[in-house]
Amino acid sequence: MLLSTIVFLPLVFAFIVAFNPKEKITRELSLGFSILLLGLSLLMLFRFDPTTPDVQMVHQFKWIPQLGIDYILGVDGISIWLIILSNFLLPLVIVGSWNAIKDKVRLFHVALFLLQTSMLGSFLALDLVLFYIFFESSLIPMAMMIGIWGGDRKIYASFKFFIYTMFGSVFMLASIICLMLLNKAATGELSSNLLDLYRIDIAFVEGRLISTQTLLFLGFAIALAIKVPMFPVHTWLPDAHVQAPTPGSVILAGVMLKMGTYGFLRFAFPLFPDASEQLSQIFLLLAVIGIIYGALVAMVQTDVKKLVAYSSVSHMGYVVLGLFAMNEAGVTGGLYQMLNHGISTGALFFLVGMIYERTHTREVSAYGGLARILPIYTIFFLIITFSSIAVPLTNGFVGEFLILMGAFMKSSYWGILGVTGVVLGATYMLWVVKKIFFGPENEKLKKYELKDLSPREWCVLVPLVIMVFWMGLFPGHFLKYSEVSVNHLIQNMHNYSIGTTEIKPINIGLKDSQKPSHIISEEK
Amino acid sequence: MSPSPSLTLADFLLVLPAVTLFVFSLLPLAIKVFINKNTEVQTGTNLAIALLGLFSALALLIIFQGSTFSGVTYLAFAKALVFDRASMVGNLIILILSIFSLPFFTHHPSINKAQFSELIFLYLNSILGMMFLVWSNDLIMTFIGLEMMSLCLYMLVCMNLEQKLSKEAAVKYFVLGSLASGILLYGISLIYGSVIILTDGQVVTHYSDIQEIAAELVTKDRIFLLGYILVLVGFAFKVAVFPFHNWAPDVYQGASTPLTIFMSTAVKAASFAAFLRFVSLDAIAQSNSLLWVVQWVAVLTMLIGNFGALVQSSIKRMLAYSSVAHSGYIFSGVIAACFATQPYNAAIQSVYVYLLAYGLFSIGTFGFLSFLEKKLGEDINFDALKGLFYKSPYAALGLALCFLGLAGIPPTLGFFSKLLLFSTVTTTGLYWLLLWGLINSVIGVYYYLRPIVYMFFYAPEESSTFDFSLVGGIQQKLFFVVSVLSLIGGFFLPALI
Repeated sequence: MLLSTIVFLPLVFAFIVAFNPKEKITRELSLGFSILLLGLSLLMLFRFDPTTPDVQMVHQFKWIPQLGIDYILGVDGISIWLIILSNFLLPLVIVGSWNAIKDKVRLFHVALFLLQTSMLGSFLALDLVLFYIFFESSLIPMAMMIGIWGGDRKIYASFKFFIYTMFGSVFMLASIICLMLLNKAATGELSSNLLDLYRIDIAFVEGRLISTQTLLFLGFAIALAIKVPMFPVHTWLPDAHVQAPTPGSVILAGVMLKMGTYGFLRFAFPLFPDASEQLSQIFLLLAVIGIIYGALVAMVQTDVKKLVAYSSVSHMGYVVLGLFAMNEAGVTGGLYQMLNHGISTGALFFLVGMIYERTHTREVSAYGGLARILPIYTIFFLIITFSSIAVPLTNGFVGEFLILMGAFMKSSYWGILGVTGVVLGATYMLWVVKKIFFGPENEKLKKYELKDLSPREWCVLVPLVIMVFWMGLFPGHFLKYSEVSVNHLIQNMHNYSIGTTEIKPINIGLKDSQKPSHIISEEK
Repeated sequence: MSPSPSLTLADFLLVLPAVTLFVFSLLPLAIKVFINKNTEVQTGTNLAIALLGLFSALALLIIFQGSTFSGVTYLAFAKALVFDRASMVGNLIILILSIFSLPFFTHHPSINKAQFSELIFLYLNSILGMMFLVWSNDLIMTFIGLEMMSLCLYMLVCMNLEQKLSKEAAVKYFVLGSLASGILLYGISLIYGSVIILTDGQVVTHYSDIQEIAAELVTKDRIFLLGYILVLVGFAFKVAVFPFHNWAPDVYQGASTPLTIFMSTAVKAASFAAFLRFVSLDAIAQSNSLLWVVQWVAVLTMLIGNFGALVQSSIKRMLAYSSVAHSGYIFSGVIAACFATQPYNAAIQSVYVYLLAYGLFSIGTFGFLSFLEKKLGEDINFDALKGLFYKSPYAALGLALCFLGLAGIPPTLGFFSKLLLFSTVTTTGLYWLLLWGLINSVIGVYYYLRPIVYMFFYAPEESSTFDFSLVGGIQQKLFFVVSVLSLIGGFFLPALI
């Protein structure tokens, strides 16, 4: 029940905010709610048992028995940090939007909470149709955020975002429907429950390009690759980011993109291990192209926000590189990098938004010598930049190190190509830092009478910076939760690929008596 | 020869809902002529009588045929009518959709209030035709039901007050409709002719009896095949499937909006129900070339409908084209039903759920359009919706839910009905149809999003005079019921199927 509460509480909050008679206190109310939500998810973390790969705190019942659709939520080491990340960013977003969102405040917070429900739901759903429902319903509030509070070309960007993602996800829906029918062929009953589907054997022919498993994998991969976004289907991202308001960008980069990479780990890899292995070279190639291409394009941007958006493409390329390396180091690194990216890119969008609120321009050329005018802002920007370019002691270093290690273990070519991205990433970030903060003071900046960070902005940035160092200095605190699940995933994939029949499925599908004790102890 | 038909009381009890409907349809006319001395009865009274008639038909249907839900099948009138689960569900859907769409007639300016009793008469009788259409167990009965429904509709279309396109629509509908009926009848005669040869002169016409003969004949007998195709063409016209869809956008646009609601909901449901009955003749699945053709017909219907809708600036015409696209989706479900063996199977179920869901959204969207037309006159463009959310948030949310439902975006009922439909299509191995259907729903998303974008993303225009709070009445409540159903309907899906 705890998980269902975490997922649907934001929905309740959305209603409360929508019908709250005092519009003035919307922000305070929402902030309170979001902190409550964070508290609940920390409770979940506290109850989580990191020693087992099983999904935990499962809440399930038959939802649409005729179609074999279950309602089943559960958390394991792969999803737990993404839940924490989303709930950690939400209060910051609410605080961060205090000034950025001036009109339609109530609607904004309603959209925020609806988005939260759909994102948390997609990270926790263990039924494919349920996942799809959450995955798709996240589009509506996000498109609203871009379309209502966005920049000049907001309608174009919002449309593009919606149609692009929707186009990808219908292929996933096709795969889901086929999987349900495959389960019927294997066991006689329709089912979209992931734990049932993990057990079925999907036809795969070694050496042939087209087989059932490959096609179904591609259906998932198209949807997820668009969501990540991977090269060459990343083109919606810069538009969406540039047009979106700051809080929208933070959520989009911070959490929504992870729905794609998470989908690979949760669905595509375990369901189609052979096909993922077979096509991994293609995805590694696309990931590396994404890393380098994203970095190169970021280098020539004159708009800071666009630069951060392209750096996002590059960073998500790392995540995919790690995942498709398909070894422990790579996958762990990919998972870690998802969190890093959520924190560092989220923080970068916050920082860009803060300066934009003051000057209403995002052109790099409009700035210069900001370090002398806004010293504290500069310090924060530098820390986040270091995190973003993976300087040791920051969180980015741990993630990229693990990913590159994984890539080298896969093949040294991928490792070498991945490393070039690190250099390029440092180049554009340091270039933009140099242009904006150092060098001669730009005369135009005088007229704005810039003030340094307000206490509210401190509140946004300090938690992020704490996380940067915490995750950079003590990665073990975080990795110990996901370690067992990741190992389990990798081992099972390799067993499957070399034809061992001893697949160890995740355990919750078994009868109560066979379940590990902690699952029974959890309420149903 | 078949044994001479003996009519029993049980037969009449089974058709009692239809008889009741007929009696109620006469009431407004009788009151007008005999009591009111040829002055029009009050609209409210007429509406009450009609609703009473529809509700009592619904009640009688459930009382006398409720057992069909558990799989009992009744045959009546020398097996001309069949009462089974499929016809029960079909009729329930038709009656429910008719009840929902009736109130919109009372408030719309294009409806001639001086002829409202006649309108009720025609409305109820066309539903009567639909009920027989759904019950029909042979081709002649199907034809009679279809004609009864269509003749009433032709008159309903031309009855409205002068509108720019209404007369054109009426003529088009009548001429093309009659042509289609002719083709249908010709096809029926060819089918009968070829069946009689096989059965030694015995007139065997019931669907269930000629089911197996049809499977054999379709590959052997050219005459039968021709007849079969002609009947398919006739049905294709009635349900507006490519390449016989061209009347639909014009007629839907030209007819007064309440009637468009009726045509795109109950009429569509009835035509598809009869279509389902017809394809239970096991023929399409037997012939690969026929299967290939109907598959592409379904795909092209979706494509033409969607691309047609994509370029419209008038809301009504956009919805009319999108209705064609939905015919394409439903038609793919009909194709899936060709493969099924049981009389009431998952494919039929999914088609019915889709028809109900589509009907509800149609009532929501066209119904809202009728509110707009009442205030702003005909030919409403998207501009009229600009900033609606900031003036009447509930109206905009309700309409947005209906559009999202049409687009099939989770968590609306539209998504679940699409999922159900496409999963049954996939069961039959028609993977390409699944893929085309899904791609088409993405195209659909594009134009269904446009009104939402206008409502939410644009600032309201000062000049626009529409005020939803002034609409009021039972129609407004119906609109909200429909939009709430759109949102939560999916969660009650297990109860629906």
